[in-house]
This record gives sequence, structure tokens and C-alpha cells, in this order.
Amino acid sequence: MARARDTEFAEFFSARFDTYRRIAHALCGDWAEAEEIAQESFVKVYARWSKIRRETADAYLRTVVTRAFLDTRRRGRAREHSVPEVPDTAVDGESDVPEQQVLRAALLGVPPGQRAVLVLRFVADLSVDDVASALGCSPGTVKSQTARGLVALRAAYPASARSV
Amino acid sequence: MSADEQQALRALIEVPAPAPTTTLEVVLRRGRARVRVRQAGSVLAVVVVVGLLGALVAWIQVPAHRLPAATPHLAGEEVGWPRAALPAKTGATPWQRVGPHPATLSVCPSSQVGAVPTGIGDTAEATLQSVRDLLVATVRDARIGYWTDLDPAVHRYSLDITDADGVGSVDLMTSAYSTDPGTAADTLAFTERNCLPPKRAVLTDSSVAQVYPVAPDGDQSIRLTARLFRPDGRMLVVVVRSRAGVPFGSWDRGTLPLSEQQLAQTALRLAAVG
Repeated sequence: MARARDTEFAEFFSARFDTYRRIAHALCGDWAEAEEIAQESFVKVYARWSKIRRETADAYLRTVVTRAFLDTRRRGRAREHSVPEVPDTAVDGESDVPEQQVLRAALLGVPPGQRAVLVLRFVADLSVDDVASALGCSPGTVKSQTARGLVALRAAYPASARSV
Repeated sequence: MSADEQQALRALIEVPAPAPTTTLEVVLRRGRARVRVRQAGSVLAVVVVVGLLGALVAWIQVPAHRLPAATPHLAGEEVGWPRAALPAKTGATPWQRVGPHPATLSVCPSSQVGAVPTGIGDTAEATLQSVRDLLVATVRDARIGYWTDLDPAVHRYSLDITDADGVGSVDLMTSAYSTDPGTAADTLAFTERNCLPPKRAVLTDSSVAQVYPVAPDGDQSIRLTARLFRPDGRMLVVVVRSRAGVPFGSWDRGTLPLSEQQLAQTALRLAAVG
């Protein structure tokens, strides 16, 4: 029975780990931290695998990843710093195209809670209800956080900065 | 939000990424360790809860003879009668008297008692006089008062005994029962919040006399009770109190004016005078 469970989890892991690592990266902006958040989240999912229904496993994993990210910020373990304006150079020297570098830096300037909403809504492409479920809040809260997050994002990512 | 903005954000997830360092084996190993820790925590919690419950039950059911806090010698010189052959009660708890005469007793919840007394009787004048004579003769260095019927509805006679410790009292009442002396004595064996059975003597005329352990008498006083079950269906009750017979305005003296031995003698005198 344990072997069957591991096999099932292995399939789940293989199909999703990279996606959630990328979502975590969108949240924190650091590949090492993203790897850590994703790994810790999958460990937690494995520990409760026997109690998770397969059709809700993704929703549960989204919740765990998001909370793991927010927990690191609450503990003051932030490896990031908010930026008041768009930096002139690329963040971490990544290989994004320049416009993506600017957008990523702008996103990292959005407060963590609002950033989580933006990432789940527009990067992970979830519905308002799914985001509310992942964050454990109401759809109304998701909408208001989305609006505030977009204002903050647009302030740091003006239209003039979007041209390559 | 514009479609361009959405597209730009969506593209963030598709950027080139370094190769992941996390493998399935790492996740499985850490996940299994996490499961083991959680299971150990659950087992520990169950053990702790069961242990606490066990300790609570043991504390509630500790036998009276194991309670260490009972103040010794409250009954004075003890009578040598054996205890009635009845099982001791469990569930003893400490009762404490504070103030100038601190004392601790082991008490049990009051037992459910059937309606053994079937009537209220008056105590014969000769009986009252005989008991007083006995007290005058046997209680030294004390002033023995006179019987007063403090509650005419039930004929509760009381006299005060005054000695160096202060004023105490003795009550005497008579009632009736319909069974035999042994059965009635068994039925009324645990009426004084006592965990241990009373000390008992079966007399030659088949009367049964029993003396109970010292018991609380209200919030701050103590009492010592004896019952005499006569074969003719009369039950005489003698209560020695650590305060005067009239409860209002009287101070608890801390000690009983009669010892257990003297109370037992009083019961025997009652049996002798009929």
C-alpha cells in the first residue's frame, strides 16, 4: 500500500515540481529560495498524501506553496528588498529579456500578500475563487488585494518602461 | 488589467530556469521522516493524556487509609471495638478546618441511605438522667450542663460540657426502625461521610452499638457520632460536638469534649438503662 502511494506521489511530483518551483520563483524572485519553498511544500504534501483527494491535490499544493512563501516573509527571512522604483540593471543577472527583468523587479516591489494574489491570479492563471481558496480568504479580499497590487505594480512598471 | 499586462506576467513563469536540485528521493526521504515525527507526536500525546487520566482517577480513588493529611487523635482515646465487616468506601477527599484549630479529615461523599428510621421518639427522662450521671462521673475537670430539648419537633436533647478547652456539647435523640439491629446498622454504616466502616459491638441482648469516625460538623466544627440499635426497634443517636449545643453565637473549641472511648461507654450505658 505504501509502495502504491509512493508511486502515485512520484507521478504527481514529476508532473508538477517544475511548475511550482517557477511559481515560487515568481513569488520570491530567487531560484534557490524557490527550490527550497517547492521542496518543503512537496514534503508536506507527501506527509498528508493518504488524506488528500487527488482532485484537490493541486489546490492543496498551491495553498502550501503560497503559505510557505508568506511564512518566510513574516519571519523576516526575506532575501529580497522592496524597490521604490524600477532598477536600471537586471535582477540577479538572470537571462530574462530586459522587459521581463523590469517587470520582475516591479513585481518584487509589491507587498508580499498582494504579490501572492497577483502571481496566483495572473502568473498561475487561477480564478478569483481558486486564489481565495489557496489564501484562505474571501473572493472580495482577493479582488481588493488584486486592485491594490496592480496599482503598486503599475507604479513600479510604467508603460514607458515596457518597450524593449 | 490589459491583455498585454497579463501576457507579460504569464511569461514570467516561462523564463529559462536552472536545473532543479530536488529529486523525488529527497522529497520521499524527508516526507517519511515527517510522517514518523508526526506519528510519534500523536503517540506521545495519547500517552500523556492517558497518563493524566490515570493519575486523576488514582487521585480520586485513593483509599482513605492512604491519605496522609488526616489529623491524628481528634477522637481522643479510642475504643477497642472492631470495625464492622463492610468494605471501605473509595473516593476519599481531604476536608480542612482553618482558623485557630486547623485540622484535616479524610471524608467520602455521603452514601445514599434508605429510610431506615420509621418514626421519631422521645427519650425517657430516666435515660437522660442516667447518661448525665455517667458523664458527671467519668468526664473529669469539666462542668456538665443539663439536658435541653433544642428541637421539640424531633426531641433533640443537648447538654453542654465545659472544660479547659471551652464549651462542647452532646446531643441525644431517639427514633425507630423496622428491621433487625444488624441490618439497620449496616444500612446506616456510612452516614457520617466516613470511608472506613464504623467500630461496632454486638451486645448480649442483640443490640448493636457502632461508633463512627470523626466527621465534619458544618464548615468549621467536628463531631463524633454513635448509634445504638435496640432489639425493640428503637435507635438512639449520640453526637459529640466541638461547639456548644446552640450553634448560633457559639465558638468552635477545636477539640471534642468526649473521647471515642467515652462515647462508646455512653452508648453502652444507654443499652443498660433500656
